Amino acid sequence: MTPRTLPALASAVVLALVLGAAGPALAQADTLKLGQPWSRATPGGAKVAAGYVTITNAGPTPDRLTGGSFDRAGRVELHTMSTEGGVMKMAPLPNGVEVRPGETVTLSPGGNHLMFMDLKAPLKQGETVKGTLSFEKAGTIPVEFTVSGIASKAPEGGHSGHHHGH
Amino acid sequence: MDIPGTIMGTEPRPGPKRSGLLVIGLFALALAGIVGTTVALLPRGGKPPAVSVVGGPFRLHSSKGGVLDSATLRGRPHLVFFGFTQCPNVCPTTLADLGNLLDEYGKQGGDIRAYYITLDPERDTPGLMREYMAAFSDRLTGLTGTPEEIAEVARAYRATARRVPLPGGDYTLEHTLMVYMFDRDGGFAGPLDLDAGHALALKQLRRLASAGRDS
Repeated sequence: MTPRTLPALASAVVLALVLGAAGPALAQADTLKLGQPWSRATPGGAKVAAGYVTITNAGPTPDRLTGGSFDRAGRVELHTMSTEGGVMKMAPLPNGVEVRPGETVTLSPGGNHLMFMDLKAPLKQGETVKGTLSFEKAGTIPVEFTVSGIASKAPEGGHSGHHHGH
Repeated sequence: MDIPGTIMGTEPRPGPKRSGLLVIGLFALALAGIVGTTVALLPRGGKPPAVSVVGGPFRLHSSKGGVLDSATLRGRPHLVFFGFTQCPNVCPTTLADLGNLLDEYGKQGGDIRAYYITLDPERDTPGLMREYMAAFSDRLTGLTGTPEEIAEVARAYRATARRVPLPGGDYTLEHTLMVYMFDRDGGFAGPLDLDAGHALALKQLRRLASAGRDS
């Protein structure tokens, strides 16, 4: 993906935000600003991958990320990860992740993340995979995950993926 | 023979110099004691024993085919670390990063291999490990075995692995992240620090390559 296509994609995400959330959820969805959702290439045979994104709540009411979907995965769970005393700790987040008004929540390698389970096929660097993010109030928001390199620490292709809403 | 007596008798200037000699003598005696004890405690024979409190012998299925016996690593500094293939965040990052580091070290003329031992032997079959490891540097080898074999290796390396049940009925693992360095004699040489950048990690590898009792 070239840096030039990212603003277009970002706009598409915003458009999807607005169009995708019909009815009463519309006002709420409009206030959630998403950075470029991304994942990482997987080694052959891998059954899992992780999804990352930044979510900014520009609205007046709190919302909560509760999960999502990923076209390439059987199911998606929200997990947290941390390192304690040289041991990787991992736990499901059954209550999701709260996004308070004015706050930005970042799902990233080494922290909270979407866990893509039962992968149907490996993820290849450079491709995009459709999915959704589910929020308690904003409803289900369609997104496209870009796939970065196997050890990437950020989405590849520039820094314009994150757009700020004011 | 009473040498001190003779010295005393012929020494024209007793005093500070003689007490200095006495101190040096005692020191030499103590030193000899320490060296002697150390040598006595050093294992003899051709078989390098487990001098480390960390690590131990193993025979596990290699992602490169066949069985890898840790005895074949004798004489070669190497790295060992633990993980599992259904690890989405840390393991692939470490594998990719470590592979790049070892390739970089290879370009500088060094040759250190790393062995990635799964802590999830039920799911990580030899076939899966072969497929999985193909994504990484050839200097990395994946190892798996029976649950009993893996449990024994984990115990020897003091590696922790704890199953965490997931809502969907699956499980994930909490596990030790450390990359263990072993010198050519199989002695544990501490953890490799991948977070401080490759320049420092390469320094650690160079030091590891020259470490060991025979060096």
